[in-house]
Amino acid sequence: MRIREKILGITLCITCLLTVSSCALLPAADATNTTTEPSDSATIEFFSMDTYMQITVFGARASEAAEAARERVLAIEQIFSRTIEDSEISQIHKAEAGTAVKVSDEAIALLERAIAASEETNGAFDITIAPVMSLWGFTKDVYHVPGEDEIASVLPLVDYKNVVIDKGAGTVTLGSAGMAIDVGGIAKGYASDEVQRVLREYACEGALISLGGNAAVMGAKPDGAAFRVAITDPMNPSAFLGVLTCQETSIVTSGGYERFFVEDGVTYIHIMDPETGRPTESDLISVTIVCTEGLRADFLSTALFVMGRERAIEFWREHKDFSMVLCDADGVIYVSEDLASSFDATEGTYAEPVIVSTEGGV
Amino acid sequence: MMRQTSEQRAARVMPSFRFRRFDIVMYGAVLVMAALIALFVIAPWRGAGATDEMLYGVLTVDGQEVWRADLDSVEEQEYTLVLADGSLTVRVGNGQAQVTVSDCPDQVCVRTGAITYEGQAVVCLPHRAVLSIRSDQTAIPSDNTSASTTSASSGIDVDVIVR
Repeated sequence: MRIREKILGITLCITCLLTVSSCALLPAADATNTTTEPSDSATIEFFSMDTYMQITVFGARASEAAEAARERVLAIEQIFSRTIEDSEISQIHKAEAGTAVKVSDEAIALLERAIAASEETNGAFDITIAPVMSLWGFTKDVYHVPGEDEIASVLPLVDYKNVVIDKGAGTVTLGSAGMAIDVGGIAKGYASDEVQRVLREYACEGALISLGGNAAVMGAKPDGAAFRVAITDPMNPSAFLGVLTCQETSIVTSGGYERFFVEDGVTYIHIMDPETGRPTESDLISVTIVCTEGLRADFLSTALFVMGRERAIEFWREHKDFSMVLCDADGVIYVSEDLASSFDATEGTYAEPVIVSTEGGV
Repeated sequence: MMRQTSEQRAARVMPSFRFRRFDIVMYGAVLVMAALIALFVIAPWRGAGATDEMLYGVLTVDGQEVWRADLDSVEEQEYTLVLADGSLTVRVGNGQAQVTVSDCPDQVCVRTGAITYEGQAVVCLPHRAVLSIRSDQTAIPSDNTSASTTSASSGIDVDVIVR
C-alpha cells in the first residue's frame, strides 16, 4: 500500500515536471528548430572610405577574420583616398600634368578596371568627374550652384580617356592640369570583393558585408537560410522599397535621396552627369544592381542611374550578366526578370513591380 | 471484512502520516527542480528566438556608446550630444528612433527620419555618430577596434539594408 502510494506520488511529480517543462518549451518550438547550435559569429563596425561599415562573420575564426577584413579595407583606403595626404591618389594629384607617377600594382589594377568601366558604360560612369563634384561643393559639403561659365571651364577636365596607364612601367599620367581622379564609385565595391577574399582565407561559413551602400552576402547563415537584403525606400529613407532574398552575391544601391541640397526651391543631387557637368536629371530615383562582383555592381549602379530608365533597361538587355531593381520618379518599380521571384516589394507602399524581360518593350 | 480496533487504526494511520511528511518534502523538491529547469534551461532557449526582447535606441560616436534609451517606452527621451565640431540631438521612444537636429552640413542623418526595425541605423558621417536600434543580442562590440563574439541573431526580419 505504502509503496503503491509512493509510486503514485512520484509519477504525479514527474507528470508535473513534464507539464511545466513542456509548457515552457511549446512557444519556443520554432526557435529551437532553427537555431542549430550556432557557430561563432563576430560583428565589426567602423568608419572608412567616407562611410559607415559593418561586417558580420560566421565561422570558427569569426573574430580573427573580421579584424583581418577591417585591416584590408583600411589598407585600400590608404591607397585610394583623395583626402589622405600621402595616398597614391594624392601623389598622382600632386604631380604636374603630363608627369608619369609610379604607383602600386594594386592601384594600377583598380584604375584599369575603372577606365574599362567608363568605356563599357560609354562615360555614364567616369572616374574623372571629381572636378565637377568639387565645383558643386559635394567634396567639402559647402554647396554652391555654379554659373554656366564655371561649368564650362571644368567640363573639359572630365574625360577618362585623358588618364594614361602604363602597366609595364607601373605609372599613371593625368593629361591636363586640374584633372582629378575619384574612385568613390568603384572602390567600395572593390573593397567588398577584397573583404570576401580575406574571409575565405579564414574559411568563414558565411558573412554579411555592408560598406555604405555596398552590400555583399557570402556563404550561409548559421541556420542555413538565405540572406534577406532590404533596399532603402528612396521616397522615405527610414523605410524599405522591398526585400531581396539572395545568396553569394553583391547588392549595391545608388540614389539621389541621401546626399543633395536645395537652393531656391531646386533640389541638386550628388550624382553628376559627366556629359553636362550638372546633377543628373535622371527619371530614376533608385537603382540597385545585384551581381557576383561587388566592383561591377558598384559602378553599374551609378552608371545606370545616370543613364535613366530607358537606357538602363537597354543596357541590361545588351549585357544580362547582372540583375537590377529600378525605381522611377513616379514610384514604379522595374525588376529584371531573373529577380522576379526573389524580390518582394514592401506591401502597401508600391504597386507590384514591372518585370523587365530580356526582349521587347517595358 | 475484519473490524479494526482504534489501536490498529492509529497504528496504520500514524506511521503513514510520518511518511507523508517526508514525501511532501520530496515531492516539493521535485517540483522545485522542475521550476528551476524551466527557468534556467528552457527560458534562455525561448529568449534566443523571441521577438519581444528589449530594444534600445543606441547612440555611438566613433564606435563608443554614449547614450541609450528604451525604444518602446511611451515617453520619448531626447538627448543632445555636444561634440568639439558641433552638436546632434536624438529622440528615442514610442518604437522609433531619429536624429531630430544636427548642425552637420549634409543633413543626411536628419533626412533619414525615424527608424523602427532592429538593425536599422541613422548615420551622421560628419559627426561620426550612429543612432541604431539594437537588442542585447546585437549589442555593440565592447572594444570597437577588435571584433567581439556575439550570438547569431535569428530573429531579425532583414539581414542587411542597402542605401
